[in-house]
Amino acid sequence: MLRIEREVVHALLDTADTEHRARVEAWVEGCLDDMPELLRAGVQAESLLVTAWHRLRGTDLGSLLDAMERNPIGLVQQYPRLFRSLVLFGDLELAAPAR
Amino acid sequence: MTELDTEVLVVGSGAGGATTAVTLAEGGRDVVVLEEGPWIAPDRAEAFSLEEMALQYRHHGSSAALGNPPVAYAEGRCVGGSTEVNSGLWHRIPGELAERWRHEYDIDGFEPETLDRYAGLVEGWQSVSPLPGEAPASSAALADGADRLGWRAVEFPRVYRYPQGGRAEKQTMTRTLLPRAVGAGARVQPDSRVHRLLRRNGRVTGAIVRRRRPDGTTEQLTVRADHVVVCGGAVHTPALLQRSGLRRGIGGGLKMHPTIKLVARFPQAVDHDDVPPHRITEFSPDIAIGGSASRRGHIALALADGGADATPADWEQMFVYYAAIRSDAGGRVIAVPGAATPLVSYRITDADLSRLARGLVQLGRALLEAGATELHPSVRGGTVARTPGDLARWWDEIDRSTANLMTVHLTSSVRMGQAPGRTGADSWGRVHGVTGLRVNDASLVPDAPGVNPQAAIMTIAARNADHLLDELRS
Repeated sequence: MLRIEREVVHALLDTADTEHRARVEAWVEGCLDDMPELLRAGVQAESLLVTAWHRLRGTDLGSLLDAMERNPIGLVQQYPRLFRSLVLFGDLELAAPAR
Repeated sequence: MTELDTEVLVVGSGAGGATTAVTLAEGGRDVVVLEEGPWIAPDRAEAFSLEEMALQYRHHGSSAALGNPPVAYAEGRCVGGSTEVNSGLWHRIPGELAERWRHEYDIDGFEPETLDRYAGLVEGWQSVSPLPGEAPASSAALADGADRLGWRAVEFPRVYRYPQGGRAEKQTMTRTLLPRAVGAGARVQPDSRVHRLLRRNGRVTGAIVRRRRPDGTTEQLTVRADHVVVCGGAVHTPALLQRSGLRRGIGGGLKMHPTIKLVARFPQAVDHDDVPPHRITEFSPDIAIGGSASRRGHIALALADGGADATPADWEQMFVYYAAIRSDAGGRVIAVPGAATPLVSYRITDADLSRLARGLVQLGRALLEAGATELHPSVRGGTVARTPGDLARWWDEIDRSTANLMTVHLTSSVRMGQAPGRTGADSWGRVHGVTGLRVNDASLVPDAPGVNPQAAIMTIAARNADHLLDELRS
């Protein structure tokens, strides 16, 4: 998992519980590592672009992800949606009593 | 390098592979089954949980067919394949569809009575039975809504055993056919990925395999076989054939059931432990309407798709439902040199989008009739519907940029039949242009059946395995 991807995960998490954050991060990392190679390569390429934008423009990561999600280009939208989905599912399923 | 000899090598242990293995092993043949995934005890992970996704799904359940829009898909990757992780709902192949396929693809021995005979046989193996007692509220809502609208709804049986006073047991392949196959002498090897098939003078003679040992190291294994039956599913069967140099009619006809979801809010708490057995069949086979896995995480994901608060306090009053369609579109599976996972693409048509919108609107009508107070579609910026009048907006809101689509049913990437140029295998799954090689899984099903495909896969697999057994005996 790239550094920016860890930062994205943490930007999407609300909780201050460090152990829980680490568990969710590990879940997302497992999912990314296990993705089909070609999809993973696409996500990594987008992560590099997000890194560049975030660093060069100094944009807050949360705002950048929100803006990406509103972008009309499907590939750009998919990036924050992927991370939001993984973080949300991991956050709830790792925190809640099993159901 | 380790070598292994067998009469029949079965690649894959899901619905098709296990059916093939048990038929041949109990018929007295020497059988080896290779499964890429691990052997996980049936009760180890809770159904639809995070643990199950990590242990038993390919790619943690995060695969996607590329396209506009892309379609997320999930498939099992463990001994028993997707039968270990699916809902276990059982639908025979609709007779009208089977007849259409028989004529369109010129399939021999595909008469309704033949299919019924094999369906009955497999249903006996799998303890196919209805839910004892009353259906849970999440399921009854579908039946109730349909009834109020004068539509047909059916409670489908499932591959479950219900021991008296005991816990319901899903009859997965690791519970049913694989132990029987092993009892009859079959050797089942988990953690063994077939890299490519061996060919000599136009005949397939075995496979090159990468096996992961219990200590995590790997070894190469060569399996030599008189006959090879590939049962890796609609994505990985064509990919393996392509990696082995077989491309004619392979991978190009992929079909699926594109599916769109919504979250319904009810005035009271509903069950969340299982998938509803009821389906609204009024629009079958083109549109199937039913309920989905609805753990808290699933509800949150579906709510987030539409931009709603994903973690409402009253989530226990919510449930996820879906509309799935038979699609005009087709897709491709392409093995990419150097990559373990093939590229999958699917081209949704405008007619598909229209059908999805229709399905979602009809689902919404039924749920509002059944007492739902709010419906959140998995559509970016989609209207939260509280009255039937609100549903009309969904027709315009569902388009390529807003719809979140997924599927768990993939079929037809090899296709069976005698029709030249339109199928990758003959009426019995024998791959065209080579001897000693058959396919016997979802890839053969000529088109998406519009219902859960496990019954179709096992019925066709039992029929084809019998054909191979007869051939071996003669």
